[in-house]
Amino acid sequence: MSRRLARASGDARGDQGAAVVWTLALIPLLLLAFSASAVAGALAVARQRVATAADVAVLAAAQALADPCAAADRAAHANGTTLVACSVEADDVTVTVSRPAPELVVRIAGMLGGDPPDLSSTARAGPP
Amino acid sequence: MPDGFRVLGRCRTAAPARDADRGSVLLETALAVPLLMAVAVALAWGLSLATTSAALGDAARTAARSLARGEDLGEVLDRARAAVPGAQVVVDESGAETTVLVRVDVSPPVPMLQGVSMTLAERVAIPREWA
Repeated sequence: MSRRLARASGDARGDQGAAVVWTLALIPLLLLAFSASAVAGALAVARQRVATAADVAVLAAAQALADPCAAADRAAHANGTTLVACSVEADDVTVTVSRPAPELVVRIAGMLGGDPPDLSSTARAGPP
Repeated sequence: MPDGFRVLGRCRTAAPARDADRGSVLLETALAVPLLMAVAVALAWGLSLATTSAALGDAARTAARSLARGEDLGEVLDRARAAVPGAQVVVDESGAETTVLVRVDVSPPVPMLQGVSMTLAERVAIPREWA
């Protein structure tokens, strides 16, 4: 409105407010960048936790005197994950643990109409 | 923001009427700069939070595994504390698992917000069956 008025009245006010418009246009972009980096960070931290849990669980299994998978299950739970697979072949133990995606990621995925998959990690222990 | 507005106002009244609009885009951009700076600082802080969390997790896992191997508690604690500057390490050996908690208080990288602090912590529990 001010631009049209400015042209009509012949003065040089046409540019006023242009930077404000640019800044406002930038805000969604900044919010997007912000949430994208927050999601990436939360996922990286959660993935590391799952990997650590798998690591601890497979060590517990490998050194259990009886029932390696029960030991792996206890270790997985102690680190906030659930044991989804456990196999023992000869001297090798392989375990997979998983946990839900971080709350932040679930919430953002929910806003976008999706459902993030659980995070999981597999670890193997045995003679080289 | 108030400073910026004052500058804008002074320019308008001081300049001749025809040139009133000159530089207003520049000034409006100058108002936007603090906002952009704040967003940039927030992004950088977020990144440093994620990095710190990763370092805490690493320290906790390494400490837990060292303790499970039967290494000396004092040395393990020293190494964990050295891994993340300012970190506190708590070892709990009372339950069926040895639990290592590494935590650190962080503040935004802005002098005015040093009172704001948030605690990051990572915890690893390792069964003690074989320890």
